[in-house]
Amino acid sequence: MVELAQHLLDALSVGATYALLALGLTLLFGVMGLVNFAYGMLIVSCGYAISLLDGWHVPLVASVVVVVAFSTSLSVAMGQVAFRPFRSAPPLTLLLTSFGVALILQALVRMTFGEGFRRVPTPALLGDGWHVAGVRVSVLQAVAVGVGTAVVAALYLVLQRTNLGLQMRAYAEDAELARIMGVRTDQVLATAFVISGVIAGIVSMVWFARIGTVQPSGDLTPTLKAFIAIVIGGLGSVRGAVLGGLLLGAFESFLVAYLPPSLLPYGEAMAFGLVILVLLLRPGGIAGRTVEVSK
Amino acid sequence: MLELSDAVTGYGKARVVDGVSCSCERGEVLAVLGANGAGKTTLMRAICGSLPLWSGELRLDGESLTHLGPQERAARGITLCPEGRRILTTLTVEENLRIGATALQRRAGRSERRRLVAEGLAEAYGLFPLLEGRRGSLGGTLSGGQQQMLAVARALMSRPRLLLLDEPSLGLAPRVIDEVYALLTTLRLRGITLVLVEESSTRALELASRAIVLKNGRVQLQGATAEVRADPRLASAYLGDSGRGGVPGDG
Repeated sequence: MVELAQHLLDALSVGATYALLALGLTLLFGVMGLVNFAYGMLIVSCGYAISLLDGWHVPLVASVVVVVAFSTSLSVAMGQVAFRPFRSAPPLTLLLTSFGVALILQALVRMTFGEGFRRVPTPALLGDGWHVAGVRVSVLQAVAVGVGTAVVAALYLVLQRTNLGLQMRAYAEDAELARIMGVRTDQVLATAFVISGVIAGIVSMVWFARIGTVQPSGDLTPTLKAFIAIVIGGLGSVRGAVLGGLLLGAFESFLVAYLPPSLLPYGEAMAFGLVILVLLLRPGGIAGRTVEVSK
Repeated sequence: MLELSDAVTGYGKARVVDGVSCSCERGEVLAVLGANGAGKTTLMRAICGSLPLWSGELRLDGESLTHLGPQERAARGITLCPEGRRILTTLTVEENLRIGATALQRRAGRSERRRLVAEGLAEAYGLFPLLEGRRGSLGGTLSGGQQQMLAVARALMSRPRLLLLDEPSLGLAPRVIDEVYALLTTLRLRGITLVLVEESSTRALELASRAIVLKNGRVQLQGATAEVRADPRLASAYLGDSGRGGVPGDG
């Protein structure tokens, strides 16, 4: 029982991180049909930023602010320079553009920091923990879940309660109609990149606290986790990203817990197996819209 | 008020609207008629700006809007109530209405926005009490007739100077079409300038003061409704022609 509770807690904290990763990606897909494969490089760039700031002994709180500001600026710059010119292009063009952006950023990181791992120190505070009824709760886990919940709540408020959020939802459903009603494409897209960047900055703090190192090619894992989560949950929907992230986290945690060690290397393949299974049963993802039969 | 001259536009390489000129005076109802595929919807998209003109010019009260996008044209008071209604199905009825006020809010000062939206909503619910009862329902759950009412109400939220209505009676039951036309009559009495696209000409010609008839992307006929109704070319506009562009008796 205690063991199960421990696994559930692990699943929740990993899932919360994945859900956050997924949120940053799904928003851009929802608004402009962009699967941003450069998203992982945003996270990696933040990793290097965290590492540098730590080397300069910047206090944790200040470092969070700087990293989020940096990630937001990078995201907006990406949007303005690389994606804005293709805003009405087909999804494939956007997808290829995002690969291009990822390659450029990766090359820049390689040129600046070189190949190989760089340590991203976990703040000492996050290593502590408590024992609650036999279950070990680390500060990092609590932070991951807390931050995940806060971000989801904040995003919900922005999307549901503000004018700009309303315009984003309208634009995501029917861009042409939204423009006819006076919604400004530039404003909606810029906002989407801002939000995506803020989330990337926040999630990278949790992400690197968990894995402890960064390398130029480290973008693949976060991008794939986010991508799998949004495909499972339903592309372009906030609810889908959260559900998909939590489900993927649970799936992975329970694989690690219950799979014989010899099979563990196949964990990633099994995650993709889960994707295929979900898509077979529910092609629109778990929270996705069902395919509309009539208008 | 609205002046369109030599408008040419289309999709890809296909010219769908091919040299259309027309105008519309303040407070008038202009009917745009023609068979399916004549270019009526494309013309509306060109006027509201979601489809750029390849050549030609569009003016509203003397100001050239030719190179402005749909957002800027919306801000100047052109609103389209599109074909097929295009209700945002994942938004509530009230959110659909609020989206309709986006252009108006852009025109107004920051302090006025909230009041304008509140007034617009009150007006919309006054005109369509049924929508008020369903203000929290998702747009996708409304019936076809209710969606059409919502589409018109949404368009009115922007307090348009020029309202383009693309086939407002399409796919509706006759009784609901009566309601829609009663509503359009009300709008005409309020002095809103309307451009009304319909495939079936009877109802539209009753409401409009002038009409243009399109065929293959060109103006086949235009004039006061009485003249248009009496003209034999009205019927011919609805008949397929075997030749390319050649219309019998239209030398």
